[in-house]
Amino acid sequence: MIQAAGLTKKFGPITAVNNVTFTVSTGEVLGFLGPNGAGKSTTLRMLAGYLRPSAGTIAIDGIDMAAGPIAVKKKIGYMPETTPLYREMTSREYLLFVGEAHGLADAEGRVEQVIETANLAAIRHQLTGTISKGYRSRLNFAAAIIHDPPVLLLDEPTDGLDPNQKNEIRKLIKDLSRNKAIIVSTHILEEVEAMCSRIIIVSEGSIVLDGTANDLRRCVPGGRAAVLAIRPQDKSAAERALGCALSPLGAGPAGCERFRLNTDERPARLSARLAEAGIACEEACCWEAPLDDAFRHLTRTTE
Amino acid sequence: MQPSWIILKKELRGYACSPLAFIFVTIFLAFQMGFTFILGRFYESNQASLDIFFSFQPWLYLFLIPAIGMRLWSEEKSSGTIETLATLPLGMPAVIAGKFLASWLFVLAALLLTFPIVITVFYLGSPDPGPILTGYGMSWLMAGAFLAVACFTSALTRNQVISFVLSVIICFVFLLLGFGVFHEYLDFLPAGLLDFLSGLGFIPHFQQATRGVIDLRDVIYFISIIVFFLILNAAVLEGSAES
Ligand SMILES: Nc1ncnc2c1ncn2[C@@H]1O[C@H](COP(=O)(O)OP(=O)(O)OP(=O)(O)O)[C@@H](O)[C@H]1O
Ligand SMILES: [Mg+2]
Repeated sequence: MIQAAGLTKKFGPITAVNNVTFTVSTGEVLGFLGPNGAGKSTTLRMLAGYLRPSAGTIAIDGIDMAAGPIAVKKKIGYMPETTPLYREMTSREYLLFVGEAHGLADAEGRVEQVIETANLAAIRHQLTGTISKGYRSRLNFAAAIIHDPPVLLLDEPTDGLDPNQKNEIRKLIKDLSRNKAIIVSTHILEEVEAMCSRIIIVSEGSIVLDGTANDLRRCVPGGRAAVLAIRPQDKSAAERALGCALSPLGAGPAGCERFRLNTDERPARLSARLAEAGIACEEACCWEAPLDDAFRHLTRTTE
Repeated sequence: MQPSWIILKKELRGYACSPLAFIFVTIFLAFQMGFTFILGRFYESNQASLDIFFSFQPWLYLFLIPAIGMRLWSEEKSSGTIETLATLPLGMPAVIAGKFLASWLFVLAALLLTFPIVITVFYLGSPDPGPILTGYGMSWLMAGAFLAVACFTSALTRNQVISFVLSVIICFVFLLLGFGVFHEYLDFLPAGLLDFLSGLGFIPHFQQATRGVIDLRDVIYFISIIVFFLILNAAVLEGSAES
């Protein structure tokens, strides 16, 4: 649905985005991550047709952006990072303007629907120049989905939202993803696990990872490990049986202690091997590194 | 609905809700009347015509039209709404046309609000209605030319003050060209080019019409100026998508 090939954007001497290639299909929610200044917003701005790439091509639903910008823009719902609004319009007027600009036959009806979806009833008649930051985000989100586009580009959609609204919007994004291709840029890593089916991490304009959350974990040494709960006195026997060191994590169930070991082997395999050596294993599971460790590892620049 | 009509509607609503627009109309009317009656000694002149009224107009436009046009793009840039505008499926030519037309209609409304002076001349004497009609028509066209310059300079910067100053300078040059004031300094240029340059001045093209003569060339002249600066406006916006 979304195809970006060799996207590059230069601002004078700065290369903000450098030869970025990816595709996103319908049904996917792509989490777009990266440190500040990595080029996330610049990439989304190019995909939305606001900035013209210095090199590379963009195609949405098979239509090339350069060849048919208007046809492409009809298919995109874009929420800019800066959540811009026309101050002299009320929230409802703003949504109506966006709806009409998309050529919706029943713009008024759609406005009411998205006001409902994004919980905007309270500020419906308020001038957008005076609404709070969270409402600005939600109003921009509502404007992005008003024409029910097959492609959604959301630049930090949950920035400034209260915890309830964050959850609400995440759920909404997940629901919407059934028949849409969605790219969400964010800095909140738990959010990525909650709603994204795939992750791209950019650093200094280039893609450093394209995969799932578990792929990300696997990138750190020891990012994927196993946790075993055995009796403390069996520790050295277990180390000999498995051929690797166990590091204590704390007390476990039934007088056992939990140990971590760095391995890619499946936990069930590990407990079977322990059983062969006559060591009782109360618990065996995967240990998952916090995503932010993996993130830090990948985006560490040569300082 | 046509994209340019959607933009036109949005912009017109902006004027209707904006206190600045009312201030502008008030200042325009006050100066227009002030110039005509006080500076121009309208009563003492004993003429049942609007010659005096029209002769001050270009100088009034010089400051007031850039003031209307300065926010057109600068504001979109500084508030970031240009990003919304550019990513909606409207097409930049339609947006430029819609914005220009809305402000041009606003100027028309302000111009029509000077009607009491027309009533006054008809009350005082029996003027020839021809020059009044053609004068108003051409005045609006000339206002469009000023406005197109202001649209262009507004697209150059997110700062409304800079946009204002730039368009006053450009419009001032266009006013001076008509008087041939540059002839002395530019006499190294070929005579043909000098004639062409002085032909580019706003005022001679306008004055014809205030005497009741509508010359098609004057109409084409102002329309070309408008189209030229709106194309420049589009080029500038195109350029900002590149960088
Ligand atoms: N209009 C511009 N002119 C010059 N440089 C720019 C422009 N826009 C962005 N940049 C530069 O491009 C780089 C990428 O910026 P971008 O906004 O895409 O980062 P980001 O990944 O969205 O960061 P953040 O997480 O802070 O939102 C930065 O170095 C920024 O300074
Ligand atoms: Mg950003």
